[in-house]
Amino acid sequence: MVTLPSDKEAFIAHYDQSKDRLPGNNLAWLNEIRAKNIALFNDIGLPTAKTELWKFTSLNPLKKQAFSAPETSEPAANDELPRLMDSASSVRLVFIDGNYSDALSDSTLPTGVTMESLAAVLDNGNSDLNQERLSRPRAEEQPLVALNTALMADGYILSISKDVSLEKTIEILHLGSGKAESTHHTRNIISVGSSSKATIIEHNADHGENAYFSNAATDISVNENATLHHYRVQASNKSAFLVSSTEVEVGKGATYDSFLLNTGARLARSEINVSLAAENSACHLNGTYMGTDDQHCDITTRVDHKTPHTTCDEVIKGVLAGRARGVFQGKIIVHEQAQKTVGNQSHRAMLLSDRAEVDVKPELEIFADDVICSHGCTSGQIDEDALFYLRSRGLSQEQAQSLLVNAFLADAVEAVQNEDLKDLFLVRISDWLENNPNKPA
Amino acid sequence: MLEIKNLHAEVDGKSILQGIDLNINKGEVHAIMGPNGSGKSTLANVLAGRDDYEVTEGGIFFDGKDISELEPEERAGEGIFLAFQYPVEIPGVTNTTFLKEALNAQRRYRGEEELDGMEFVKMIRGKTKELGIKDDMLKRAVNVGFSGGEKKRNDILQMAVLNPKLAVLDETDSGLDIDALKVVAEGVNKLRAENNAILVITHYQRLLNYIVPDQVHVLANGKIRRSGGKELALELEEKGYADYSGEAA
Repeated sequence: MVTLPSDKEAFIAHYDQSKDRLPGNNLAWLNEIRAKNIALFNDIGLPTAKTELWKFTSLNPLKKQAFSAPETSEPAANDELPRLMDSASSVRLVFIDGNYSDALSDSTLPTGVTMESLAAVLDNGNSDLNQERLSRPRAEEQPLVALNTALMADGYILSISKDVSLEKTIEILHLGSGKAESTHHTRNIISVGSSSKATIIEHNADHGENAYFSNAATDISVNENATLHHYRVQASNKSAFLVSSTEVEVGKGATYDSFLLNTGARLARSEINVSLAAENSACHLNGTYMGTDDQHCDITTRVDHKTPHTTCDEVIKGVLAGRARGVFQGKIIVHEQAQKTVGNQSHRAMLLSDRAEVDVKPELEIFADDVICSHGCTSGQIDEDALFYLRSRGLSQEQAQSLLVNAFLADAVEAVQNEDLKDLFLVRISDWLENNPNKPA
Repeated sequence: MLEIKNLHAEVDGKSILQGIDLNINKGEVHAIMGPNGSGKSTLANVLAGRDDYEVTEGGIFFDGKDISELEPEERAGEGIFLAFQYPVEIPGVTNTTFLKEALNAQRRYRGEEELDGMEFVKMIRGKTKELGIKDDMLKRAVNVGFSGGEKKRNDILQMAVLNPKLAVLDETDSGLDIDALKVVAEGVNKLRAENNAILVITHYQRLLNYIVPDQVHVLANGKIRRSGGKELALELEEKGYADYSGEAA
């Protein structure tokens, strides 16, 4: 068998090369879980087509690309850094190639917010981070999270204390500096204190066009009666490989509200797992994705309704041109005791080219009998009648298509409550339509 | 203004129009009547330039220019407007956005200045007032959730804004009750002028009570079989199309 540059062995070699210089290498418990997780990764290996959760997303393009072991060098900023929101309405934290940059981040955080970099916390060794907080409920299904745990070098630990209503948005920039073939495994933790409200927007962007591999894992807890709006603009370059796994625990009366706008990366996989284990907990998992050329976008979600009176809404819309491929896997599990669950899921894809493809796998597993659940998946071409109608009024083929696609995607953005961010997402959608010429066949 | 010469057209390889000749001058209203399957809607779509309709022989001349190879949007820019039998719903696009984009696209095509937001709003307010259309219709998504009558009124509004030289009304009376029909006809009549023309395509005579044509043509089996004044419509109403349906091309 041919050994590909980034097969399992390559990542294990990364671990061997870097374990002595990873942050917190003097902490015995940490070294132990790193070792345990690399062993788990060694057992499972990289996901393949036979891995149920990765049935439609092949990592072969990743395996064919050589990557170097993660580096912990100081980030260097050269050009101006992208910013989604102005500094009056946001504070920005900056990560470059996966490493936190204190110098480039805004220095003052709003009252009630603390942020520590994972590297600093592990090196200081004096945090309450422990084995339990870094373990996942279904670790054996998540080999890339295991790899992340073994190799995590930085990330953020963001805490919002209780009874805080943040006016400013926390913007987190994940910038690729253009350093070729780098890999980064970031680990993030967000906790929102009870009765607090916060908006976090993450932004993936790049200075270069080179390939790199970002493997992120984020653990979120939204405590009693709190609301977290967690948005993400994924606009990486089209050679990048981005894999992320987010695990969310929603408390009593609390809401986790997420929106993903995905336009970038050669391959992007966003996995979000939400546990609704307390009464009146709710989640919204919304998003839009746009792909062209040979881009691949995978959105995989799982919502566990574990107690009565929990709610989940999910609206995802995608548009694919060129040879792009979209994947949507949405699992809703209503556990036996979770009566009065409301779960609604919808995924709609529009294919602008004959060679674009979308694979969907909606799954409802319902073990309770008094629930309201719905799911719907559709995919199709642009409406030819509508196209002709618009053209007959003077719009060019391109303008008409752009107007229709825009309207299709904008509908999903309606779910975003923050008007500034809603506008920002709509502009991103228009920009994408303007910059990605329609490729009908 | 419009000259159709020996027009042959096919849809999916099936020959539908088999040699149509028709002249429409400025300021005239013509009606084309015919039984189902006679080619009425095909003619409307061919005039507007729909993709699947292929002209195989003859030509369409508009102000002396052969337009049979032009794209639908180019024909719109030349001044042809098709009111659809069933106006299409466009979710997520408001009437205002749609009308502004359409008008400015046509103005660009003709090398005219585009209207800015303010100019457009002023213009459209004038049109809605003139036609007695409520402004809230402008904020609604194009035809979404509109009743049959509202959709047709929306077409009239589009006509008023785009001010075409030739309006082709394809079975505009479909699905309208008599009150809605009157309102739509009234709108069309308001837009009649010396320098534009209207082609009404219909199965029934009743629309022609309200939009009175200068000439009536009977289309059957892909050809115009007879032409005459408005009294021809009344004759058809009485006798039906039996005299024409037997004739093979």
